[in-house]
Amino acid sequence: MFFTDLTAGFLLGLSSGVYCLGSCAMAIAPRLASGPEDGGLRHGLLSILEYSCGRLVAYMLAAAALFLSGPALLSHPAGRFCMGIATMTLAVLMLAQGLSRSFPAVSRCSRIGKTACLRRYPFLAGVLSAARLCPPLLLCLAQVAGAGTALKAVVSTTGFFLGTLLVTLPIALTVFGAKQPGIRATAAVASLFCGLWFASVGGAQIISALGERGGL
Amino acid sequence: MTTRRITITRRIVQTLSFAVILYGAFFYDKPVGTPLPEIESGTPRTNIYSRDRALWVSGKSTVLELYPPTLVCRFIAKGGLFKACALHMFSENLTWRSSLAEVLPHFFLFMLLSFLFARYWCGWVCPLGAITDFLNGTRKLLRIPGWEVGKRTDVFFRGMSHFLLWATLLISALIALPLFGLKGVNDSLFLVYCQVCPARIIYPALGGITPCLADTTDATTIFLTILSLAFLLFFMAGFFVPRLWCRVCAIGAVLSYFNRGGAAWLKKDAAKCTSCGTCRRCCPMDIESVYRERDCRNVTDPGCVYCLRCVEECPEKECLEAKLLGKTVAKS
Repeated sequence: MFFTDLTAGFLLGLSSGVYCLGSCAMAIAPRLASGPEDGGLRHGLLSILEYSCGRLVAYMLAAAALFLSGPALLSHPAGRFCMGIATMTLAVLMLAQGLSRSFPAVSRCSRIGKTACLRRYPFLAGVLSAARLCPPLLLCLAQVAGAGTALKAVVSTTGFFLGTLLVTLPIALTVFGAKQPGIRATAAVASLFCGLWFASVGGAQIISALGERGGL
Repeated sequence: MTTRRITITRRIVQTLSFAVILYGAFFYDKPVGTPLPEIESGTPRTNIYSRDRALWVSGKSTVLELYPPTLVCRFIAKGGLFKACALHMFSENLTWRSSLAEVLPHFFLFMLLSFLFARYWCGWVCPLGAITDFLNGTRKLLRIPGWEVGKRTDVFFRGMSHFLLWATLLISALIALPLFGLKGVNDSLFLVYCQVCPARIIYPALGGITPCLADTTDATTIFLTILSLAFLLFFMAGFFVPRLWCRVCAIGAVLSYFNRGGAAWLKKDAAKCTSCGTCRRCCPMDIESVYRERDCRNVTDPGCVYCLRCVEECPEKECLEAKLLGKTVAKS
C-alpha cells in the first residue's frame, strides 16, 4: 500500500517535472551559473541537493499543516498571505544574490555576498520556493489531504519529492556556465530579474490577501 | 575631408532607414480585418495579439512579410513596412509552435543577413540606434557633459542583453506548454520582449498613435509595465551615454554572435599602430579591443556596431580597415 502511495507521488513529481524544472531553475540556476569559476559538477550537485533538502523541509511542513487543518487552508487569505511573504523573501534573497554577483567590486554588494543568508542560499531558496506552493505541489497536497493517515501523507509527499528531485538534478549542469565570463554576467543579471519578478508576484499575493482582511 | 565621409554616409543611411521603416507603410494602405476596440481607442495592450487575431496597432497589415535583424517593430503605425524584428519572429513562432516550413525561410534569411552584416544593422539601419545617436548628438551640440560607463557596469549591461535574449526565447517556448502555461498560452508573458522594449512605446508615438504605457491585468503585466518604463528611462539616458540602449538590446545580443566569424570584421595592422588611444576615446560603445589587441588581425568586438568611428579617426594610414566579404569598405 505504501509502495503504491510512494509510486503515485513519484509519478506525479515526474509528470509535473517541466514546471518544476522551470520554476526551480529560476531560483537556483543563476546562483550556480554565476558562481565561482572553479566549481565543478560536484559543487553543482551538492548545491542542488542542499536546495532539495530545503524543498523537502518545506514540503513536509506544508503537508503537515494541510493534514492537520484540511484543504481549506490553501484558499484561506492567511495561507495566501504566508505564500506572499515566502515569495517576497525569496525575491529579496535573489536580489541580494544578484547584486553581490553583479557588482563584486562595490564594497556594499560584496559585503552582502558574505552574509550567512547568502552562504546558505541553496537551502533557503529551496525552503522558500517550495513554500510558494507551485501548482504541481498543490496537486500533491490535494492527494495528501485525502491520504487518511499521517504516514501515508508523508510517503506520498516523499514520492513526489523524489520525482521532482530526479527532474531538477540536470540543473546542476549549469555550473559549467560559470567558466565563461559572459555566462557568469548573464546569470548574475538573471538573478536580479527573477528576483524582481518574484517581488511583483509576492507583492500581488500579499495585497490580494490583505484585501480580504476579514478572513485574516 | 575623408575623416567625416564615413559619418556623413552613415547619417544619410540612418535617416533613410528611419524614414523607410517607420513611415514606409504610409504610402501603401493594406487594410486587414476589423481593429479591436483597444486598437480603435488608441491604447493597445501588447498581449492582445493572437494568431487568429493577428491585428496590428493601426488595423493595417504590414507591407513586406519580412523580419529584418534590426529593431523593426510590429507596433509601428500603419503596420510598418516590415513585419517585425527577428526576435519577435522567433518568440511568436516558438509560442505558436509553427511548422518548420513556415519558419525556415525567415530563419535562413535572418541567418544570411546577420552573417553578411552582423551589427552593421545596429550602427547603420536600426531606427532606435538613430534616435539614440540623435539624442547624444544633441547633448554634444548643447555642450552638456556626458556620463561615463564603468567597465564593470558595461559587463553587467552585456550580461543583461544576453539574459533578455535567452529569457525571451525560453519563456516564448515554455508558455506554450500546457503544464507550464496551465491554460495554454499564458497571455501575460506573450511576446515578453515586446512588452519591455522601448521601441514598442516610441515607434507608435512617432506614427501618431498613443502607446500603451500601463497594463495592470495581473502581477506579471504590472511587473512588465514597470520594467518597460524603466527601460524607456534607460533608453532616454542615451542622451548622456552614447548608444546606451544598444548595450542591453537583445537583438544586438543575437547579432553580436555574428560579429566574429561573419562576413564583416575590423582589421588592424599592429605594426602601424602607435597606441595613441584615439580609437578607444572615440568609440561610442567604449570598446577597448581595437586599442589593446596586438596579436590578432581581427579586432572586432561582439559589442561593435560598426559605426567605423575608429577607422575614420585613426591618424595612422591603413592601420585600421573595415572588411566586408573580404573587401575593404573603409580604411584609416
